[in-house]
Amino acid sequence: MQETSKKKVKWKREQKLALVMSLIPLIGFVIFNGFPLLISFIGMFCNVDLYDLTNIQWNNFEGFKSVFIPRHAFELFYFDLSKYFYKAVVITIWIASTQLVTLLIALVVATLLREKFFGSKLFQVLFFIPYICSTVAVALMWRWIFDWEGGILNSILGTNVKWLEDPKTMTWCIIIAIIWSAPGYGIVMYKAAFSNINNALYEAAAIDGANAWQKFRNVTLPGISPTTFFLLQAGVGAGFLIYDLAQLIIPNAWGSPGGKDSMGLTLMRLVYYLITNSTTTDANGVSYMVSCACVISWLLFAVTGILSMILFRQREKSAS
Amino acid sequence: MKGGEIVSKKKLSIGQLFIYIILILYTVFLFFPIATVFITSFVPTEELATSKEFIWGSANANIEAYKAIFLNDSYRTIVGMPGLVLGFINTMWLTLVPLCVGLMTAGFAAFAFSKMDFPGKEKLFKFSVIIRMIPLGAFGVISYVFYSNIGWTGDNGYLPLLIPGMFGGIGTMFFLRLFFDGIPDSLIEAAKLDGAGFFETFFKVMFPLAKPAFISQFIFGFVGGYNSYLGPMLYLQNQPKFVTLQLYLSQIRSLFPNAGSENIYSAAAILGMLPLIVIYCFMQKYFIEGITVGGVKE
Repeated sequence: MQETSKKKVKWKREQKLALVMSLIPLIGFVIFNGFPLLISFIGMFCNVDLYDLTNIQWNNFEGFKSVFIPRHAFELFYFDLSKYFYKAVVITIWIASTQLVTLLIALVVATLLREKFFGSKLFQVLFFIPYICSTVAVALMWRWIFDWEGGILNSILGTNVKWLEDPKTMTWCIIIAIIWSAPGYGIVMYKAAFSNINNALYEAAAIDGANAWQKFRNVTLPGISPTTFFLLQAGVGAGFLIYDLAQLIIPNAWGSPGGKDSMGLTLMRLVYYLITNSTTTDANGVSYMVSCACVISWLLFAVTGILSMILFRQREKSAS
Repeated sequence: MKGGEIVSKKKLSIGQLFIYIILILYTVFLFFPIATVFITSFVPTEELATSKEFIWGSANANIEAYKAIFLNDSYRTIVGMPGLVLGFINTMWLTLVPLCVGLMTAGFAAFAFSKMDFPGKEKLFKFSVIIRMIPLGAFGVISYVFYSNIGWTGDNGYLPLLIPGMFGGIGTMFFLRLFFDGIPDSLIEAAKLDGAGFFETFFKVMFPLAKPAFISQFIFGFVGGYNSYLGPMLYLQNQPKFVTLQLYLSQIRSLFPNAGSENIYSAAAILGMLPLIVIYCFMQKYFIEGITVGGVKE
């Protein structure tokens, strides 16, 4: 703006309007993403008040210590945070790795749907439905399937397992629900990617005497790899930041975030728990919970950011 | 689309039979769970309360569970209408208002970047490219600290769900800009010569030509808004008057805590899924386009 005033160019009304209009999404970004980023950054090093920002106090890295050093938080404010944190790291990575299974299912199903045959269109329409079903309804559905008395799984298997309450099985309940609902997106994306592969490549491969597997390995896979990297990128976000399905299928148990033994606790759930329970204070009435939540949020941001950057680079490379 | 599909002229071969079997098994995996809640939603409460097995269908099947959701829930005494209905109304305005306004603001910005010349354009565009690359999902919950400090929680808890979207997403803006770039400049010049201003040109030339792009973005946003749960949970959880459809569904267990209420939970799940599935069946082309294209936003 200063540049133009120096040049003393008289703007036309339309140009001013265009500048204002182009700025609106950016202004929205700065206000609603920039400020939360700034506050949570400060919050890593200071105790911030949920309702009074003027009340900011340097906390001598207690937030970091509480998250990473075992027993530190327990001695400080009687909540064994690091125990839950390390548990949540394991569970989050475990659940996030489901995204790879989802991707594989999507690839296999899309490949099978590639050939046009009677009913292929119908299958394609049907397979997308779980993806648009609301997470809450999906969770209600799976909770009923895994129900101890009356649930269909125990009835079919003839077992008597408390799937949703046994720490050994409850993480699997979340994972199965994810596998049920997620592949639809990948199927549609792969279908679109297939149609962008040049048919001449297959013809050339056929002339070279390639069999079906060789064609898939040498023509199809390289052709769809930008889509694969894109889906992985989306999967990093969906996987590491999972909150809703985990929380809805395995709700917090009394005194134990993330259900019994915290086997359903993801990092996003831990952040949520810390924010909503930030009234827990140390002997002097100081709450470190929000600060700890900021530390975990920034850690998640760093992990998802780095991973999606790497995947983005790979995608650019594979596209060229 | 058709180019990549390998059209087979053979009759049903063993390979194809194999493919059919796998696809049918996958279909069963996807729809059997939905069938179980559908069946259970019609089973009477008395039978569910006493049975230790799944009931495959009852001789006394009825629609009491669906009636209970509309007639018996405690929202009726608090807000004067069934929670499901209020939830639907709230979900609609909390989704549609920011979505429609946001599409327009993103569209104006895309128009400016695509077809107008103004000082600072290059720098602003580069800045937008950079910030669009940052994945900010990790801050979804911690943003609460910001919104609570500006007073957008409690009674004002609907504001964080309503206002930010109105500014138009940068991703949406990029997507629309790409579409606008394909519209010939000569059409804009012609409108200019006719004396049309910024908004007139946008609504008379750009919007009608880019309608498919707007529709796909609209569907992408609508599905996301209709199903969104974390935001309403964070900001509206204790505000019965602002209950959303997803919040209501998540509360169904505490609203109907009696033994044998699984038929009600199942009916709620069906009622929650049904609207989008029905719309999808009629507009599946737009859905798939909206979600693939809207998802890539390239």
